[in-house]
Amino acid sequence: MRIGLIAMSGVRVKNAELARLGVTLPQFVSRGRVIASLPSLGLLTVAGLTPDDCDVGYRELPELPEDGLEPFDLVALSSYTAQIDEAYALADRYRAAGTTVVLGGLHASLLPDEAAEHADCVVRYGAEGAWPRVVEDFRAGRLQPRYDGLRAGVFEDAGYARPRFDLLRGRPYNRITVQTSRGCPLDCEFCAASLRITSSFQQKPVDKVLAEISAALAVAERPFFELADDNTFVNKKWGRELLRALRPLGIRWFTETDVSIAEDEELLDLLAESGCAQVLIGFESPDAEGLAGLDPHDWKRRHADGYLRAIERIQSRGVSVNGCFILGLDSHTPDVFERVRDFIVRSGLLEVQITVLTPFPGTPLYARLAREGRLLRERFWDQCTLFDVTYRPRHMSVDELEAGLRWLFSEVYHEAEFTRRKRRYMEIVKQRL
Amino acid sequence: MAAEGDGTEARLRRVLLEVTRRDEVLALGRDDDLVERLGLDSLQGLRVLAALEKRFGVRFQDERLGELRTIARLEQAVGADGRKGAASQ
Repeated sequence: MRIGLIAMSGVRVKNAELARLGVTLPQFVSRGRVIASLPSLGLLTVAGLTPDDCDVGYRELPELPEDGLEPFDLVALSSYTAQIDEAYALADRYRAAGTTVVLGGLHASLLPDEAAEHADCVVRYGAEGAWPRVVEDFRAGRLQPRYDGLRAGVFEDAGYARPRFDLLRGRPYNRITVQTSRGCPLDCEFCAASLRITSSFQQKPVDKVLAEISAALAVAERPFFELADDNTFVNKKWGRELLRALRPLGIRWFTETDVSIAEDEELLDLLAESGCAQVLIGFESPDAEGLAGLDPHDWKRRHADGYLRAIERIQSRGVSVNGCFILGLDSHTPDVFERVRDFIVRSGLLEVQITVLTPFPGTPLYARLAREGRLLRERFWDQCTLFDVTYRPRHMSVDELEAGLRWLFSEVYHEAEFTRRKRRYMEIVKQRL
Repeated sequence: MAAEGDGTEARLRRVLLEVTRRDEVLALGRDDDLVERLGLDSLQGLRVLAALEKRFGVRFQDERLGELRTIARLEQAVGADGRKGAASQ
């Protein structure tokens, strides 16, 4: 049996003026001539869960033939929200040609009825616990329209399979994703990440993480690793264990975390020693007032006063912080853009990611804004780029939010500002030599 | 291409080797692009430049940091005695 796993890639801003500014998802790895996207870890995991006697083909969307369809017995598609309509169109083409299509991933998990209009079968939540049954049932001619994968215990032996990194052999990737955790206890209202497909925070045993990194190193020459986590160091004891295990590997890597890592001196030292180049932290707003109500326990608001000190402590190790800010929160007034700019300059952040509040379907934020009648359209999935305004902000107009974003981009991302950040990083490194 | 000796190029290669831990440094041509050949990410590139500034006692001009991607250019930047070229004290 031949199974095609097709990954969608590349999200582009829809707002024409922002597009002209060259805005795209921030990237900091110098990629040279390699392609800009990351491989789909979800589909590589699906490949790992596939029985050995199946022939699996992993394809990126741009690799598909422009006319005609590569023949498969079963096709599985996974996509971000912003590209889901392209995934649906491809699914429709395959189904019209008589090929059975399975849709999975975050968007399909959150809107399974919508996905079901374009698929023979929808897999919700993790592929673990579902995909082997999908393949078995398809072979037996009893494929069901809906399967629910695991929401807990996803890294336990019964459901776990190592992603098939070998399928990337010969491809020009210099970045590879490895997941060490799924979910996040903070539960921010806007979050559309793995939190939505888990019932609790899931953490992978360190030995499994190491085995995956080892498998990836066997197929790619010195890849830069991106941990496909939403909040890696929730458990500091586990985090220190992971970092000690990474230290001898000599790899360079990146992850997402919350600001609490700055409170653990040993963990910070281990971060630097294990090759961590950068941590991405969602600060969201420059001050505590702006963060009220963002998560159910007001965790971010309670930690806001420590932001500047945390950035200094992390970066003093030579690990850069990529600070993320979300513009258009309900507390934000038109003066927020200047306040974010001032915070960025004051903080010495080496990398910055500016995005606009985005009500992804299936999130509490989407439900609330829909309830309040503030969505500009009911369905706007292709605008879920993190740069396009899709709702009415509370304390400013849509035009003010868009104009403020343009101003902030021009303030934060211009060449002189990049150069200032580079110089600051070099001075930190020099102090540590 | 060895990193032995006291010349500027040899000293440059020793710092590169120390920061990147890549043996390929020894085989790099003078005009090879360091970022491409060694597969450096942008932060590693800055770490190399920071280490060179410290070891050679120079300060590269900020606006020229992006140009310093070959042994030849770095050698020019630190100067024959490590204190000339595209660097200022």
